[in-house]
Amino acid sequence: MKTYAYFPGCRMAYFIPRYGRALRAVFDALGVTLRDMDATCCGFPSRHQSLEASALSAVDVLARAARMGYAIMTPCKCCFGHMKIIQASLRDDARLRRDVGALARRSGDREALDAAMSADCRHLLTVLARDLGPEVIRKRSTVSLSGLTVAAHYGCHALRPSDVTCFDDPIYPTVFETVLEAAGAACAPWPQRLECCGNPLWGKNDRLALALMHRKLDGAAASGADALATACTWCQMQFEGIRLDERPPGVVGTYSPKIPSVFLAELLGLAFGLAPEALCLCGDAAAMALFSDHCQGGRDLPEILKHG
Amino acid sequence: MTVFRLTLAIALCVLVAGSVVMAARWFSPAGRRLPACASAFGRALFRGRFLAMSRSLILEILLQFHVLRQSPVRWLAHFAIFAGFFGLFFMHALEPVLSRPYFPDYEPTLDPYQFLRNLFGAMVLLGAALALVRRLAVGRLRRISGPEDWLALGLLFAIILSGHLFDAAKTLSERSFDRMAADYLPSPAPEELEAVKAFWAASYGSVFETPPPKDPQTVEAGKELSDASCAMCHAPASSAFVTRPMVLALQPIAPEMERLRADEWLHDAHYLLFFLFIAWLPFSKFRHILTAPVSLLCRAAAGIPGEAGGPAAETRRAMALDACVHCGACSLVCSVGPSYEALADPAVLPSEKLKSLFAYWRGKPQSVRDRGRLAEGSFTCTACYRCSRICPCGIDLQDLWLASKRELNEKGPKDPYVFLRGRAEIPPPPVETLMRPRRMGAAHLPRLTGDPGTFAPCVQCSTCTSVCPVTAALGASPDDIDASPHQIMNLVRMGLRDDAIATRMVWNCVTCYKCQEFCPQGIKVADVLFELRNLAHARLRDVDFQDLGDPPRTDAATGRGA
Repeated sequence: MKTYAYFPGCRMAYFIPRYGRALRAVFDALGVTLRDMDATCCGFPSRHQSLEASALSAVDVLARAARMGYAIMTPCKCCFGHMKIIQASLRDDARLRRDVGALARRSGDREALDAAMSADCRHLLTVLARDLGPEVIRKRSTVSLSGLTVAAHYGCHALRPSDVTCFDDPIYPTVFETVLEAAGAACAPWPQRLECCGNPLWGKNDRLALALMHRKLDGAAASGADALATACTWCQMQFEGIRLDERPPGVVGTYSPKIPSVFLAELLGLAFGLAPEALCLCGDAAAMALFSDHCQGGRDLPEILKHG
Repeated sequence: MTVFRLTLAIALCVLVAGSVVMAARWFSPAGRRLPACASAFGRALFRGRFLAMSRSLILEILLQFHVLRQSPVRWLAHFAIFAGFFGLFFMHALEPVLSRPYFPDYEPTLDPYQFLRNLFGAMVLLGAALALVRRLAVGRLRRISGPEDWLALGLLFAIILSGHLFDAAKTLSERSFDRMAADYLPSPAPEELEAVKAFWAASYGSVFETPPPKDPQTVEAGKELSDASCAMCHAPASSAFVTRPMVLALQPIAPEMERLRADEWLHDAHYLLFFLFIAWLPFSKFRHILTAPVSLLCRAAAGIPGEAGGPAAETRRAMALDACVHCGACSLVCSVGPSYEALADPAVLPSEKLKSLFAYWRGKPQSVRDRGRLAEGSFTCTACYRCSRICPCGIDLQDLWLASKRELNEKGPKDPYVFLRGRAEIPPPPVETLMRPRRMGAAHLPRLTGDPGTFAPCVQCSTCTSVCPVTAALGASPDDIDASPHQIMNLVRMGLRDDAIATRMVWNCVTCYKCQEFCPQGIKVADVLFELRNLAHARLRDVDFQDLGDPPRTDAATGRGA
């Protein structure tokens, strides 16, 4: 049985605990064990402020996982990307290595740096598409998602810089579509799928953050997708929580149609036929609509989504 | 005695007045908050939170099982102090109003009361010792411990030790013996008195100026007399297992103690220390005895996470600092703890930020540096929710942080990032800061941006600009884009780093890494932008956050910050 050190990142516990529960239910169904880690910050949010501080956070998380003896699995692309970048920077940058090593030693952990360098960090998507493989997902999918067209949101930090993250082809990635298609969904040809969701500027420059998001949502709707699928906590928060009604005065641009955004874990749970209670979808109207429609027959799924 | 009564009365007045002022702060403005709290309480009781509140009363407030789950050592330390202290309070301190009226056989020197008093005293001492060792042994906890923490522990030790020392001094004292003998051994024959002295010296450890005989016959005779006259009020010395070793240890200096009337002033010291405790309670961390149960019941009533807004939530927020016992549990699990280690800014840690935030909210004078640190700490927080979940006093810290971040960004001091985004320049740091010891080594010095090799291959092809999503959003947000990525690279290449930092583009970067990914020359464009922001933050720390609170270059058209 495969086991991972599960690193949820900082946003999940308070802002979308639902996502974590869905993820656990899906991994239970796949027979993969997720071991909890006693850490919640990869350091990415403080990277603007101080590379050293953010590297120390990443080292802490990576070292913990290495000492647990498992590869990290994180559902957050910012966590994944940041930890990869810090591993590479520590390898290439002697000054960073020296300064962060001194900080780690002062906090009482002499071997943290070595442990962190030996850690293996994976993202949810690569765990599903490569470590487990599409065949496993296909076999486990009992409820057909056919008729559902999904726009796969890649976002930024897992994909780029590709020489460091080694996630997928930076120009024509396929890992997200591999998973979605294995679960039976169709994928929309979405030109903006590799663009930023805008969340990194939320709270710093809301107008730009929304402008970027709406550009993406408009594109997703135009591509004929019924829903957006995300595999990153920050992106999901951007698409789910920060809705049209929060558009501040002075924002220009077209208003996007309400296209629901669903976590990959929730879609997979749906395909695996997991009970909504197990997935904790009850709090999420969009996911609930998907679910009830697929399990009870009834109305045409895309119709529901358009009204949801 | 009247002096004691007067002191006690004053201490109680201070306690009541301090508590009333504290509670008034929670509920003001009362017209808005009191009815809201009453209705929130009523709603909680009648809408199924009653069970949760009862559960909190028994499991959290009385047994503190939530602390046991987090850390058995911390639970042991706290529960020992809690149980021991309240045992002593009800049985011993409230003796005239509780123990004597309700337990007809009560006598402090009889078992089980003598044993219990020693047991409770030992529990408090053990708990306080564990707490002290833990504060000293856990590095981060030691660093955030302030005078109040050490004083509070010291006062606990002093109250309990003075009590036991008083007990021991009295047992040792010949004068006490004589006083008791005069009352309970009316007109004894001289050899009888000698015999009782011999027995008390042998079994209780009393010390007499002329040592009584030690032969077994005399001691035996003394035991019979003592059984007849003393034993109805005096249990054997062995059950006083804390006082007993003190008696034995102090025997060599007993004559000196007798001369100095140690029993009398130890008695006075014990009382006065306890009165000091009563008076200090509402102004020290000891107030958590009153406030933590209220806070925990509020958490049980409101649920986790609680309601985000409204007057009742405001009251709960106002209660937070008073409910905090500064145990440091939140700061030990804080997910941005590494930022605290690196930046050496205590306000990154929840327990310290709480103090700073309340100083800010209550309008206490704060230095520019402290305000800057409050802003830095507040916006370093990732709202991961760990502190709220672990707080043993039930404080909804997360709610405080979400509320305070909104307020800081409106009224200042702002998020350093937002502040820096609107700055044309940051003043150069005073020369003496260059001599400062730095935790982060050379973090304030350029890395990529100081190396000409970083930009040497750049051919100004502007690929970075053409793939930039922010530049592409120009139509939607024209004020935000004042320089394109390739122009910024060119500025830095020419050594105009400060001019690059002053552009909005550097601060409107979404960190999508497309520029870096697609640069045909392999220039680390996004990393350079990150570094420029890092350098600006480091400079801001070097000038001690000078005027972070002042509104920066105003531009109402841009988003929330600028």
